[in-house]
Amino acid sequence: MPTTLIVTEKPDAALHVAEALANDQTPHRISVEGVPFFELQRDGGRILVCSALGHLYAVGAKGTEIRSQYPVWEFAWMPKNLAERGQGRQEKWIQAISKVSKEADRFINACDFDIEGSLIGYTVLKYACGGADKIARRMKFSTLTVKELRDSYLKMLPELDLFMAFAGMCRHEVDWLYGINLSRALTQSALKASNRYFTLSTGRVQGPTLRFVVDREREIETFVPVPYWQLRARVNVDGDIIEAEYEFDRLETKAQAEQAVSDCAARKGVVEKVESRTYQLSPPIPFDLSALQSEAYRHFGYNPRVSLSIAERLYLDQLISYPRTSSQKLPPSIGYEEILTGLKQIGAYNSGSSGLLASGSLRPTQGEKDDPAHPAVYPTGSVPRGELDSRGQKVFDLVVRRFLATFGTTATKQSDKVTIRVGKHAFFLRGSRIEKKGWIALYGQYAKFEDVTLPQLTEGQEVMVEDVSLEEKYTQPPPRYNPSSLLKAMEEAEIGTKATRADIIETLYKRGYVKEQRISATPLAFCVTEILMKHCPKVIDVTFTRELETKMRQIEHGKQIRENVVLETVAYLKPVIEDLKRNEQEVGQELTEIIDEMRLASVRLFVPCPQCGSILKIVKNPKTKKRFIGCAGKWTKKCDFGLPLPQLGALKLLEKRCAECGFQLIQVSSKRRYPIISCPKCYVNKLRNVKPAETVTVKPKVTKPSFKNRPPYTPQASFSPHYPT
Amino acid sequence: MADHCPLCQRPKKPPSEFCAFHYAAQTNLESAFAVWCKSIGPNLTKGEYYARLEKRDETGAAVKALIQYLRSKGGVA
Repeated sequence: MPTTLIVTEKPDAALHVAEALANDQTPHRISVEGVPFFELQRDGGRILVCSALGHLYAVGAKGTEIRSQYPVWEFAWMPKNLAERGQGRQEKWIQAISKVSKEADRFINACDFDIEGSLIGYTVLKYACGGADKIARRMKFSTLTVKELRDSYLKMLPELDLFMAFAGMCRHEVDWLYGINLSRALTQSALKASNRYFTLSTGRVQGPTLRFVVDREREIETFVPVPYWQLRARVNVDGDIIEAEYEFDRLETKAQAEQAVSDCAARKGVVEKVESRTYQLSPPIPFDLSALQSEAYRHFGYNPRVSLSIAERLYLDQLISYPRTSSQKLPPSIGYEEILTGLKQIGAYNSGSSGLLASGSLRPTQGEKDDPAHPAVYPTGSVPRGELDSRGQKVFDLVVRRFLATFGTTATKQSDKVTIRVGKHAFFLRGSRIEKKGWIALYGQYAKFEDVTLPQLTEGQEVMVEDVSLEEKYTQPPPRYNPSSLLKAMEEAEIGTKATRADIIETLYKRGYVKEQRISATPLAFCVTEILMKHCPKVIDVTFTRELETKMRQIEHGKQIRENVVLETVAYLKPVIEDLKRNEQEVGQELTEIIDEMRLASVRLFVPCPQCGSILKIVKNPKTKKRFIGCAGKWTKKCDFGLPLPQLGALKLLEKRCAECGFQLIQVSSKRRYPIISCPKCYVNKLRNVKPAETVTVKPKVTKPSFKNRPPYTPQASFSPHYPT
Repeated sequence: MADHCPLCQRPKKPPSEFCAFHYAAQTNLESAFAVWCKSIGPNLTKGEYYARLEKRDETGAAVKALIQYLRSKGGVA
C-alpha cells in the first residue's frame, strides 16, 4: 500500500491536516518513540502526518566547536540539538521522523507557506527523510480550515518551493555568521577584561535597530526647548461659553503674544464666516501583520511579540488566516460570503455580517501591499469551539471587526468652522460630526470619533469675548519609540522580516540595551553602538542591512545565488572581526566599565541608610541565598540597618519615592502577574505596628497549610541581616 | 585626561573641548539662546536662560549636565 508522509510545522497543524484529509473518519493517533503521528486512509493509500517543532535543523559550527572561540567561518546544517543548547526534544523528533520516513514513498511539505515554513519542511525532508526533498510536493494554504486544507491537498504544487527554502537558508547562515562572530567578540572581550560573564549580542538587524533607539536617545538628551505662546479666547454665544482657538497655532515672541491679548481684551467679536465641509472617510484597508500589531498595541497595549503569538494561536485554532503576511489585500478566492455567513453565527457580529450579506455587493477595500504567499489577515468564519481567553478574544474581535469594516461603505463627516473677527485678530470655533456612519459602525469601538456640535451662528452676528488667555509652552523633544513604533521604523527601513522583528525588539530588552515601554537606551546600548561605529560601522548601517535584505529577497525569486551572498558576507565580516580581535582589550575595558556601572546601579539604592547615612544595597545572604536591603556601614560604622525583600520574582529598584515615608520604591515582577510596587520600609513598619489581637481561647484546629491567602512576602519576625564576608 | 570630555570621559571631538555627544548638546544650547532672546526679549542673560532650562522637563539630560559644568567653571551669572 502506498504510504505518504506529510510534514507540518506544529503539532496542532498536524492534527488539523489529518482531520481534514481523513474525510469522515477519525485519524488514528500513533506514537513512534514517544513522538505523535496521525495515520489515516485515503484514496486506497495510507497517509502519515507528522509535525516538526518549528526548526529541527539549524546552522552550527563545523567540527568540534569551542563555544568561546571566534572567528568562526565554517558552518553546516545540523540537528538543532547539536547546534544549540537546550534542544533535547528535537533529537527524539528527528529519530522518529527518520524511522517513519523509511515506510513512505511519497512526501509532502505542509508547513506554513513562507520562508521559515519552506525551510523547516525542506530541512526535515532533506536530512531526516534521506533526501526526500527531491521528490516531495508542497501544500499551500493560508488557513487551517477543512475546506482549504482539502483544496490544497488536491491542488498541491508538484515540487518544493526551493527558492523560498534557499532564501531561508541564506538568511539563517548570514545571521549566524554575524551573530556568532560579533556577539562572541563583544562577550569575550568583556569576559577577558573583567573575568565575569555577561551576555552581549548584536546582529545584522539587531545592530541597526539598536541604533534607531540610541540616535533617538541622543536627540532627546541633547534637546533644548524653545518657548512659544498659544492664545485662546472664551466666547459668549447666547449665554454659552465656548473656547475658540487663535488663528495662528503658535506665537514665537512674548511681545507679539501680549500685544494680541491686549488688543482683544474686553472686546466684541463679529462672526465673519461660517463654513461647513463634508469629508469622505474611506474604510480601512485589511490587516497585514504590522498593522495588526500596531492596532493591538494602540487598543490593548500588547507588544508586537505578544500580539503575534496570540494571532498564531488563533490561526492554529482555525479562527483566522495565517498572520505572518505583508499583504493588505483580500482576494475573492477566500470566499467573502461564506466567511460572513459563518460570522453571522456569532452574536456580536450577527447584525454587521447580515447587513453586509444583504447589501448584495461584497467588495472589500484593498491596500497597496501584496504578498504572493498569503492574503491579508482575515477571520475564517469558524465559530470558536470553546471560550477564548481574554487576550485571544480581544485580538479575534479586532480581526473580525476590521474584516467587516473593509466591506463597509464610505463614512461622511461634516466639519464646521466659524471665524470670529476681533479687531485685526481672528479666532476659530471648530465642530465636527459623523453624518453617515458607514464602516465606522462595523469597526465598533476601534473607530472613535467624538462629535462636537457648535451653536447656530450667522455671519455678522456679534459675540462677546469673555477673556483671552495666554499660555507659555515649549517645543517638545522627539517622542521615544515604543515597541510598536520601533517595529514600524524597522519595517519602513526594510530591515528584518515580519517574522523576526518582534523577537529582535525583545532581545534588545533581554540584553539590557533598552528599558521601559517608552523605550530608552541604557548606557550599555550607547557603549555597544559606539564600539560598532568605531570598528564596523556597516554593521549598524541601515543601508547596508537593507542591501543585504534585497539580495536575500532576490534569492526567493531565483535572481540571486545563496552561496554568493554568504561569500560576500564572509568577505565583509573577516576584516571587521579581525580588527575587533586585535582591539579586544580596549573594547573589553570600555564594555566592562559600563557593565559594572549598570550592575551597581541595579543594586544600589539612591536613598541613604536612615540610621548612619551610608549607602544601601541589595545584597544576598551567602548561606540562605535570601536577598535583602543591607547597609554598607555594617563594618565601618557597626550599623545593623536592614530590610527584608520579596524572595520571588524579578526585583527592580524604581526611581520613585514612597509618598508616605520617602524611601525608595521597589517593583517585583513575576510571570503572568501584574508587577507589584511597594515600599520595603513601610511594609516592615506596618508589620511591626500591628496591634496584638484580643486573646480568645479557641479549640486548636489542625489543618493543612494553605498557600492561597499567603501575603506577597513575609519578612521573618526576628530579622537580622547576614552580610557576605 | 586632556584628551577626554570633562563630562563623560569619552574622547574629545576637536576643536571642541567635549565629546561628540556633549558637543551636540553645546551646539544646541548655543544656537537656541538666540531664539530665546528673540522670544523673551534681548535682556535675557545667559544665567537666566540656563536657570529656566534647568527647570524644564523637556531639556535633555546632557544639556543639563553641560549647564552645571559651565556654571562650575564660572563665567555664568
